[in-house]
Amino acid sequence: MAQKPGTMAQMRNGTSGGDKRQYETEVIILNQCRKLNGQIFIQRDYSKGLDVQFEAEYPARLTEKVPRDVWENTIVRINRIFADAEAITPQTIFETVLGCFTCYASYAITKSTYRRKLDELQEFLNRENREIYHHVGFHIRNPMERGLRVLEISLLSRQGETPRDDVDSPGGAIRTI
Amino acid sequence: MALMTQRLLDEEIAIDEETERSRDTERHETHVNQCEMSSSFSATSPSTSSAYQLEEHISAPRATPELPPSDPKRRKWQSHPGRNRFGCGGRLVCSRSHGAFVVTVILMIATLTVYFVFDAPFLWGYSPAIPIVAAVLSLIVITNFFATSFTDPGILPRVDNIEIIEMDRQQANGNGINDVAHLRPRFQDVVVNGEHVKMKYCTTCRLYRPPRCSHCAICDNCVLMFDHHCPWVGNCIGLRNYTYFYRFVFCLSILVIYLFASAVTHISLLAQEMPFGDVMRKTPGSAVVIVICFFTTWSIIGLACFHTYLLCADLTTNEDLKGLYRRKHRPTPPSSTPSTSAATNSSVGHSTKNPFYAGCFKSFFGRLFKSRFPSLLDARGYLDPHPTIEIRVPKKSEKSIENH
Ligand SMILES: [Zn+2]
Ligand SMILES: [Zn+2]
Repeated sequence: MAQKPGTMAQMRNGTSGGDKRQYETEVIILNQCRKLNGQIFIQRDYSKGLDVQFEAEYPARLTEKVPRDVWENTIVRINRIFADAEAITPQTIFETVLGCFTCYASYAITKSTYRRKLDELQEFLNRENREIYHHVGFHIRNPMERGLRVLEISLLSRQGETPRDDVDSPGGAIRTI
Repeated sequence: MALMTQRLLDEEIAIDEETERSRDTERHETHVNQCEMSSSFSATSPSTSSAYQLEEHISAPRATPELPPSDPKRRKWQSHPGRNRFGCGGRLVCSRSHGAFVVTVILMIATLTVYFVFDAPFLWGYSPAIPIVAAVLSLIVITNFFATSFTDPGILPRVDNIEIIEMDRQQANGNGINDVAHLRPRFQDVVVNGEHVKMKYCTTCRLYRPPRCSHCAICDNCVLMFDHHCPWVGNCIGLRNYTYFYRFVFCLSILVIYLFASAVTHISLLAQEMPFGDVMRKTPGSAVVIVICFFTTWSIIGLACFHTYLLCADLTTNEDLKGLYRRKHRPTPPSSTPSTSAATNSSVGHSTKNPFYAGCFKSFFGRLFKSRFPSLLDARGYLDPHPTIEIRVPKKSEKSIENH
């Protein structure tokens, strides 16, 4: 892995065959993007209680890249997945009761509703990233990596692109104090 | 009897609070250098140092790239900075202080053994159902006990340097202040269901604790829905293991009463046939069971009632003992409120109403029957200091090739 400050991305030949020939995969080292460009943090929305929800407000740094309604669609879908995961349904009650009667052996075997919703979230994020956000240089990360406290959107920088607009030097991240 | 449990819990909390205060001043080095743990059941040893925020703030960005290329086999639990013990490759999580835990295990096993050796065979003669019920109850109690002890209580992982730096930068840009002290106020006000709730900044974990989250002084972690640290169980009680804990306490209170009643029945039946002295010589175990159950039963029943009340009122032990939502604790008069929050108006402060309370029935079942919250620790996940992502770009993209 090249760690030179100049190289932000490494090229790798696309390996997928068939119709995906015209694409290739580019590996981006996330930490370098983060240091150069910063990130967008979407904070938790506690206004309705402790259930996991994220603020639906449109982040200023998405302007001119992602239309407002596209972003709103994404964040509403994310919030709905979490709302479904936290809801009490006959299924979750059954899960709990079954767990009690089997001395929690069923917990070890089956996935919880929440877990399945998180898998759904990961799938959804992958699709949204691939179809919308990667094209305009964003990457929505799975909030599990930040302990469900914040939703992190990384700003990707590919080779040759100038980093962050509001800071002049690449060392901007360190400059703040 | 409620008083007794209250006192018991008070002690637990008092310890928590005291150590938290002393700990708040200390700071942890959050670097990945804590590689000492290699065996499958070893403990992290956090190296505390009282570095200034500022110092760490500067050194943080420099330190990150110098990290040694980490062994890809290392999992997240192996560098967990809190005082926890992990077992089974990160599947089991518990506190490092385990003195009382051992006492509980020995007491439970001893009582049950004595019961099944002395009382159960005799009662089997009357009705096999009696010992079978006892066995089933014991099984439920034991599984819930170990589930409470070894489940991650809802530990909030600490914040890494990159996020801190970026947050500070964004705040500094937004407010135009370059002072670290102003950058992170001690409290953040958040409105939950129309009530103001304060989110305190945790200097150890470097995050604003979400509402109802508290820092366990014994385990040195922020725990979601922190209830209390239970030394008898050897773990914090929080969001993820509260249901196990409640079932444990509830079933244990039934079990203790059941064992007590069984032993008393056994002795009184025998006493009809022979003098009391012979009874004692014949089943000394029954007397032991009676004594143990008699002395534990009050506190356990009290605890079960207390937690049933907490579930119905949608409170945590932590909140109840602090009296957060009680009127008499309505804080200091408006004149003496700290200047930062006085800017809005006097309604900011401790709310008198519990903003999380959604009705007795709903609270009770809500907390018991929600789907299991995932472990945020992701203890079995691999450490990845240099995460990469793959994106698909058009092959003939001039941008990415010509600029090379
Ligand atoms: Zn903390
Ligand atoms: Zn603890």
